[in-house]
Amino acid sequence: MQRKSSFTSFRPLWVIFLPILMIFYMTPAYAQFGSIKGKVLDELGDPIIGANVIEKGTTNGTITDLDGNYTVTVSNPERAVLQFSFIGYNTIEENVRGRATLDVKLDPSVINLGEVVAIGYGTQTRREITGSVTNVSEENFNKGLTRDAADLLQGKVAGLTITSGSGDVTRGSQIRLRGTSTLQNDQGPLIVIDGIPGGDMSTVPASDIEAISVLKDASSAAIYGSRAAGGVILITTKKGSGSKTQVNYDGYVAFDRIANKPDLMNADEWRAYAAYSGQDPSVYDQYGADTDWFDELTRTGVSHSHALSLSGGSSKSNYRASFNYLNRNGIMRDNSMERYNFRFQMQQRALEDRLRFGFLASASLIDHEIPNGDNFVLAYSMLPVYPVYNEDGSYFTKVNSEYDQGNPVQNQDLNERRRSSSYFYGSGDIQYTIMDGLNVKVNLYKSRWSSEYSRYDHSETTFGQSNNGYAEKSNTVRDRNLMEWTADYEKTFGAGDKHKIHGMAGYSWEDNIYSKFEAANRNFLIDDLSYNNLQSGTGLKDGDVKSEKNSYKLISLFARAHYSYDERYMITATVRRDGSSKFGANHKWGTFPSASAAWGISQEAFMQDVSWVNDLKLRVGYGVTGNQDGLQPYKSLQLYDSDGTYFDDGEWLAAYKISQNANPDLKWESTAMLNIGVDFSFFNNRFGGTIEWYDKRTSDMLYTYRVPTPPYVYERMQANVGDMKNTGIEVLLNVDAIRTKDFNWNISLNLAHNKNEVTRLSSDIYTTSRIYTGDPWIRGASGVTSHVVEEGYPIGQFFMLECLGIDEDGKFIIRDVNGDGEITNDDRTYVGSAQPKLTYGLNNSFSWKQWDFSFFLRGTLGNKILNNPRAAYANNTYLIGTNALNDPLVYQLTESSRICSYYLENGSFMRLDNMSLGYTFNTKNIKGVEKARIYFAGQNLFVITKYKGLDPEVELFRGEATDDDAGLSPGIEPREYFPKSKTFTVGVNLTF
Amino acid sequence: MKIKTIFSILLGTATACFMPSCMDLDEDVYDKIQVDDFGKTNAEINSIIGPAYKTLREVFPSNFLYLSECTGDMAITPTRSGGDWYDGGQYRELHMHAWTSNTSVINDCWKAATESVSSCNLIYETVANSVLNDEDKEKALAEIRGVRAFWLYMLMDYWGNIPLTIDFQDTSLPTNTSRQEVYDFLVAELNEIKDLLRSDVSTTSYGKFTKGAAYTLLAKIYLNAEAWGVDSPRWQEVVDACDVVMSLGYVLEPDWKTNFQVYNETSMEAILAACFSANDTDDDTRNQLHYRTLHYKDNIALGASFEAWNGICAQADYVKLFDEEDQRLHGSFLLGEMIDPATGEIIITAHDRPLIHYVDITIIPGTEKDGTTWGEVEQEDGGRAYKWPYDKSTLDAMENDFHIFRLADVYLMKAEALVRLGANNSEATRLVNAIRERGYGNSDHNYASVTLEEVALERKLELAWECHARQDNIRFGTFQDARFLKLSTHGQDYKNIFPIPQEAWQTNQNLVQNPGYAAF
Repeated sequence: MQRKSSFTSFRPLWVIFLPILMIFYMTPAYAQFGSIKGKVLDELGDPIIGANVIEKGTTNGTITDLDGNYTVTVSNPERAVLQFSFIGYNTIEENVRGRATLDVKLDPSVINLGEVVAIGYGTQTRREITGSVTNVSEENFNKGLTRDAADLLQGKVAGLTITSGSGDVTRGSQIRLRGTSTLQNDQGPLIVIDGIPGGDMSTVPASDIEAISVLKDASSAAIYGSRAAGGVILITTKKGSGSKTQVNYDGYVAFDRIANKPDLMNADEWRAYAAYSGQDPSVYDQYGADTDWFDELTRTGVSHSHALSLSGGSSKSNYRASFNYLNRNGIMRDNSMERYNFRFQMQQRALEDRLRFGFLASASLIDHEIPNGDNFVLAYSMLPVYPVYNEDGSYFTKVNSEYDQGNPVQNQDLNERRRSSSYFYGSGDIQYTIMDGLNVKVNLYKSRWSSEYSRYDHSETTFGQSNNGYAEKSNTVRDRNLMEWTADYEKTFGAGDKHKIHGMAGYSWEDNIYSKFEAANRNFLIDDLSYNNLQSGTGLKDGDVKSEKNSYKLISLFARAHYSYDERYMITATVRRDGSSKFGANHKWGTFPSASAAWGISQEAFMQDVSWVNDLKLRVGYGVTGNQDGLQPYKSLQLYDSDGTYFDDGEWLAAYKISQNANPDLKWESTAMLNIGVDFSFFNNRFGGTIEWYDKRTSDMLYTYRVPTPPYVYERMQANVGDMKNTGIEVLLNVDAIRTKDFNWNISLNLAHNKNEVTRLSSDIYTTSRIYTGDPWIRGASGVTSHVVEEGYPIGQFFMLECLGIDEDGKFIIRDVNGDGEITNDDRTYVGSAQPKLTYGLNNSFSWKQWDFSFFLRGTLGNKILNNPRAAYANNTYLIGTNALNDPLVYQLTESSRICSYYLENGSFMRLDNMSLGYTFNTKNIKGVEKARIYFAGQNLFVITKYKGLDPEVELFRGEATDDDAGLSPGIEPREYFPKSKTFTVGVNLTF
Repeated sequence: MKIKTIFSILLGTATACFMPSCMDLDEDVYDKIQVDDFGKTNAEINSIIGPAYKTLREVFPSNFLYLSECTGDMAITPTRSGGDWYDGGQYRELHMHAWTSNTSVINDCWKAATESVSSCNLIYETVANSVLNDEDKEKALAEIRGVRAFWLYMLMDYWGNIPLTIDFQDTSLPTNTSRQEVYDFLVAELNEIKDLLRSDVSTTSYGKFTKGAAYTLLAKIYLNAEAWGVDSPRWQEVVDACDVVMSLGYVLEPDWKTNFQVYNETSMEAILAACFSANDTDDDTRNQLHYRTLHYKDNIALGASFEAWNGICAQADYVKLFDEEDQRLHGSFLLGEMIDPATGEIIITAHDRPLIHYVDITIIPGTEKDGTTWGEVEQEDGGRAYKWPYDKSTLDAMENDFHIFRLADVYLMKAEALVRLGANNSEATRLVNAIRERGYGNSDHNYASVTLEEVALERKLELAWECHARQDNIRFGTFQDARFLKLSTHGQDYKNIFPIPQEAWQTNQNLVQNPGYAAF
């Protein structure tokens, strides 16, 4: 049972704090402030305006003025290292060595090799990295209306698939890195925000993000051990810097229009069909209406966003405060979100910069108005000759109680589904430099996410009438406590400081607590009280009032060692030992090692004469990561749970039962990955890129497998059984096609190919040969599945009846696979995969004087999609009482629709995802204004595809990521598909 | 700073990390109860026994209703115009005896029955090791064994050769035990427990596995023993077991409808009941017969607000067996014109047709599917289940209980055994007439003496929708007959039992497929 509150576990560590604080007072002082000034020039010797000059390891710094001059004050000019950076140029580092003047010259490059990139628990320059890390910084982010990091990254990183398969503005993106890596509620990559693992993207608005690193291979992700099997995304937020106080305002207004809507029969087309089929339409056609139900449900969504930030600091401190407001209105009339983000961050140094305090506070307040996808089902089915309103202005409700019929506009107006959530977190860290190069750091973090869900189905609407009004209210709270200790040591030595070692070790403890309260009621006398007075309903049922709570802990020890020689030979090794309370008593701990090495070929002496090669680096890495995030707590335990009531002596009494097949052997799922990559930069740094190959193997896959009854009580059980393999190739190319003083054209192309295969589904104890999954659902196809998970086939394998076409009589020609003369489930076969053979993104950016222009195309090749709305509605079998798509099949097909390969379509597409045009004003003469830019952006402007449905990019799963089998049946456009929008944005960026 | 200080900090940190609280990974369980912390009082033990009884809700109105009535001559789930309820052809397979080891309904029933046996094994073990005193424990264990015996009987009846695992500690993967051995086990098991069980017929014994239930089950097993091919005829044992049941306090309810009404737990005729509540929210085991059988718009005629699914209905030839004067005709089937009370006119369906539930189910020409004679029928065709009255206020779940065993069935079992024995036809006639007289409400239709065919007919008239069709058809030799779209399958007696589902075999490859079906 409950043992103790979580925070008591922190207590012993505070004991350690005190001696550390005391040590600060024993340290001798050696301060000797000095200022350094100089000039930053480009390859032609012209000054670079606005280059960043930062003291390494701090946020102390400045930017160069109109003549390329800078002045920076450092605390120790003997030891300080300055970093000079500018977009499109290689970042360089210079040891000050006591100099008072320091001029530097920067070389242009399509790939910034000196760029400092966030890696797990630290940073490295791009030159030093031995694993596979892709860094995307602000200038390469997607433009236009962006809500979070996923929107900024979509299509930018080879191998990172970000799917926004819905126009619902309250739905987040679904992210997969290098394919599906597990069967069990694949959570996608681990999100790390400013070093805190397990974050939520929605808490960081796009305008607060400085850079995003994607740790793609296991050798770089393994430092995050048990949660890194799906890859890791590191989000680094903007910090205040230097002594300069800066005020920044970003604002935009955006307009959303529906991009594509179903082409349903209008009144005349419907009448024509009635006449053709000899049916009498008079029962239905008595209102003189011609309603386009999708038009009635949609609108032009107007959204606006305002982001204001203030940042600054001194040589001892820096701070940044930001406020962000987003009001987003979707194209459906019942779909909107409003979000407030507040973020405050500061760092203060003390004791001659040996001691550093960092504080961070973040608050996100989000209101969602959640649409009901079932309204689309009604909009497909409702006849065009039905009006929205009766003549007296009341809602047309005559068919509200008929199957798949009802007035969706009334539903939108009278029913409510809202979620109000708040996400607060704060962290504090103290870092102390014990001696040069050796730092220890402790970080404490606490977060609380709470969410209130409210729903009311009005008693006059389709959804509420059978309950005579249905109200629901629930509250969910997730708390997380995290403590981390790390020690970090860095040293260079030998002739010319060519040897460099870097070591890091740490401990982390985290506790996650989840609780939920839920109440519902029915049968309300009046609807006016909505969900605000549940007690006034008189239809309470068993299970209408519920609460639940669970928790789990994760404890980790981790270390990394890195050695490099002259940026020529580099080797990194990491190890993490993770313990999770979720697993069986004997399997709580898992060890996740990795090693990687890189060879800077271009640094070798024999390459010095090959002038066209600017950089060439070969990397090899291998590592093991784990997965436990998709696993609910308590699955290893034998537990009693309430089982409703049972009838006993005229009463209904509480029943209890063992709630699951306990699996005391539940253990870590692990994913091993081998990654080989080449980084290159040629021809005066005008052509560069990366080519990578990987082989990723997941074993002991967690999943709720089918087990035999008896001996087991339930036919499903959480266990470690199967194996899976992903292999792939990724290519990233950057070309400076034109590089002149006034006109630049940069092309960036990324390509990824991934092959997924389930290699094993049985073990010595459990046998599973096929998992039938996917529930496309059309009328008359309950229980008909669309996908199979099977050894030798990929996740997303379509498995259904194969249709060879439609014969002269308008009937499907179904292949009789087993040749028994009948078509049954035994005739289902493999008919294609939802996994694309290739995904790609192509960006072109141009700048001419003060103008900038870019457009971004992305797409997939070689994937199949099940066009389920066509299966459901492109037929005449429910006409004329139910509407149908205006599709030739309505006249051609003479039998009812069925789930078969006829509706599997080529899902390859190319989307003009983003196009933006900006103008930056010359603010030289405007006092106080540093930067002013206006832009116009368009998103989702067109899609080129052969797919006949609404949009070839569909969600990997509907519902929640925690649903059973979420992600195992990708590639279905459901009947409830929320159409996407085209978005047009006008915005300004101002910096003072 | 001194090395010593650094060292002491690192050591201190390291020590702190290895303190027990910092490495402690025990789970804090909040919303469930660890197994060792529960079952300490009689009330807690009772709450653990409760779910054994809840397994009985798996019989009806989904799984076994389909598997019994739709493979026999009672009901059918036709494919409706537009394709509703084709559902991959599974209901066609049931009707036409074309099922395979992949037919979903068969798999669902197997799952429900085997999980129920395992649940009983677990509950048996828990109670056996519990704090109950010896007397209470013996009684409780006998009840659990009774429910388990019922499920083993269901498995054996439907699949013949089944895994016979009765020890929860036995974690080996079972193979099939032959029908003969399961039969022998059940006879012995029921004889062992039958007199340990309570024998009262009261509100407190309602819903429990009683002496009456044990004897009824025993009678059923003897009655079918010959048809199962596991024994020589045991008609006298059927008579004896029925006599014991009839000597208990059960009463043939004077009003037939008492057995089916919304609050039918008052019926003194009920011997074994699956108890339902309108407040149920359990996922799979609510009583949703109204959804399954009624037309989408029947609710309008019935004055209710639920939205039904238009599925299972009665086979025409079965309905035609009923006499118009027999209250059980309109007391079992919803037939005829459905009138909108607001307008007084016949409701029009979305297929532009008047909502009239015709007895006949007519295949619409040209809609035949998958190379068979099975096609679509009009949405309104067929008599709907109307035996259990629909409460107007019913929303998502029905309150009406389902009586798995009731006295009328025992009367007819005894009558059948007597006729088969060729002894005491007057007693058999009295029993059949008792049922018949109640059905008609008068004695005008009584028999002077009864034949086996008349007993078989009376069972159909009395027990429609109550999951008897398949078993009765097999016993009376009519299961393989041609009916509606089904052709004669005589000579394919292997179809008297179902195939072991493919999915069950996948997880337990010790299972052997039943004879006649393609081996795994």
